[in-house]
Amino acid sequence: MSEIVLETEGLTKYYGRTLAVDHLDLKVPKGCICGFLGRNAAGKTTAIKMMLGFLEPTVGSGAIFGCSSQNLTPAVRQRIGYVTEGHKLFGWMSIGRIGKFQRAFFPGQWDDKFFADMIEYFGLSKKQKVKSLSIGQRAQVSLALALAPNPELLIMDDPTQGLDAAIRRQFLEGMIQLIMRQGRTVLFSSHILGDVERVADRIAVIDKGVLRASCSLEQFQKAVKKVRASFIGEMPADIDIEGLLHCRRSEKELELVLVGTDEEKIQRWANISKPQKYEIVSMNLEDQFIEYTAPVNHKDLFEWE
Amino acid sequence: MRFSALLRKELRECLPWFLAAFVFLLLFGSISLYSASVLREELGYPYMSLDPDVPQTPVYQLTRTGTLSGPAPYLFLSAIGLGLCLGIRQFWYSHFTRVWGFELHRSVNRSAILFSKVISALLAFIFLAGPLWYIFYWYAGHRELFMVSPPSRHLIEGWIVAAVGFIVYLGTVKAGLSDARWYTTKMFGLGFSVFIIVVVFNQYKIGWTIAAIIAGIFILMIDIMDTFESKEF
Repeated sequence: MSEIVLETEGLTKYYGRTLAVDHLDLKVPKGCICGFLGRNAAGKTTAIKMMLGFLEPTVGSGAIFGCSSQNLTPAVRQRIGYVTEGHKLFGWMSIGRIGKFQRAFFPGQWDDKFFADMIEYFGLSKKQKVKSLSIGQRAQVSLALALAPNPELLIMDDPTQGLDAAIRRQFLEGMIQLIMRQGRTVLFSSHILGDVERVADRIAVIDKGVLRASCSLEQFQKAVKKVRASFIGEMPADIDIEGLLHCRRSEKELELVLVGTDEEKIQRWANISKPQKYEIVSMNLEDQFIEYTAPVNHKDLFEWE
Repeated sequence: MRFSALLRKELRECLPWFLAAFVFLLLFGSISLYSASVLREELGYPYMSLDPDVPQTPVYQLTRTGTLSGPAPYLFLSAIGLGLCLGIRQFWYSHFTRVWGFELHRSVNRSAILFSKVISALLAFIFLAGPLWYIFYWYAGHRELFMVSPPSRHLIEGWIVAAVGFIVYLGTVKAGLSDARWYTTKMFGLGFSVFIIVVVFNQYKIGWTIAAIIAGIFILMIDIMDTFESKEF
């Protein structure tokens, strides 16, 4: 098994009586690009802040490069790039100045040329003040600041939030620059599934603070299926099929969302229930995510790796 | 290198507030001192007198008697104002603008980030009161302008007033780091600062005054360090 760069064990956070993150057990192997998916208020930011030691878990622990999240040493922090939610930077600094400021914390690993190239690639000038930048431009500066030290692990909290499609694409291309450097690991939270589909090779799905899936993107896409079956006569009252997540009924149609159910089992169910016809509807990641985290019948029915 | 980068950034963030306090004190302190000398000439009697052999008055009397009584209230106001502004700028404003994540994820210990802020504020107070108050003291020592020169104790008392501003700064920092609601215990830091100010200004002996300042700074710093190390951002 490949080396684990980031690991959490039973990570739990309560804000008063509100449970934000519930026993999160997450492992991010070295060299992967992990999309950390969840709806708004699913607990993504809280989980990331706990991983980086900005929040103290109520229960559980996290570790990055084997170092406890609560006591990340300066040497370990130097190996981690972090893009904050909303790209909050010091407004009074110019881009050049914030680059110099950041460089001081990465002695021997900061790549001045890379930083300058990225700023130029994004069409920005080093003289521009951060406060005069739009959110999209701040995101670009934020990414350049995180990538220039060539970090071994890049953690990004909803980096494409609020960006238009063109800037999102540029941003993702910037991220790919990092991925091209061998052995680098990326964890990024998002609810823009198209972005995840484009760059991630692994996903972790968090819903209401609970980790509901952590596997390769391919495995998730294979596992979540939707079956649409139409009936002439009466529809079966009970749906007895392994891996059933949701069942929606209309007048003559049944829509089943299944997790981890192979086609042989679907065929077997069809033989028993005798629909007039049935089809396995193809879904993109966004559809799969929405179905998987839909707020009914919350059960983990699939054995993730 | 890392600490100096932090310190430079903090000093730059302190600069506008420091300059505002410096200009305020320079302007109004100079005007009050100058008008005191002019008034003396016009009225033909010493503007203020204070027997240097009897210095046993509480520290707050500085603002009421003596040749330096003119600029003293301005020093007090600028020190308190600077303390409040720097505390808010460094620890409240960062919270509102949510830059803590970017600021704290550095290859340094958290204490280095805290100390860079506190040291930059301390330097601001030193450069506010140190040169300006000495200039006022030196000017007030001109016999041709003022009948009675200020005693050297007044020079120290000016710096004590500046130290009071630093205590207000620490109280503001403590309040800024508190997660409590503003109407509950959040303002305890500022309340404690006010308590220390009252204690400081009611001392008759410089030694006790300095002891009260050191005790106040020590108590607040210990609490701030503990809070900052364990605070959730």
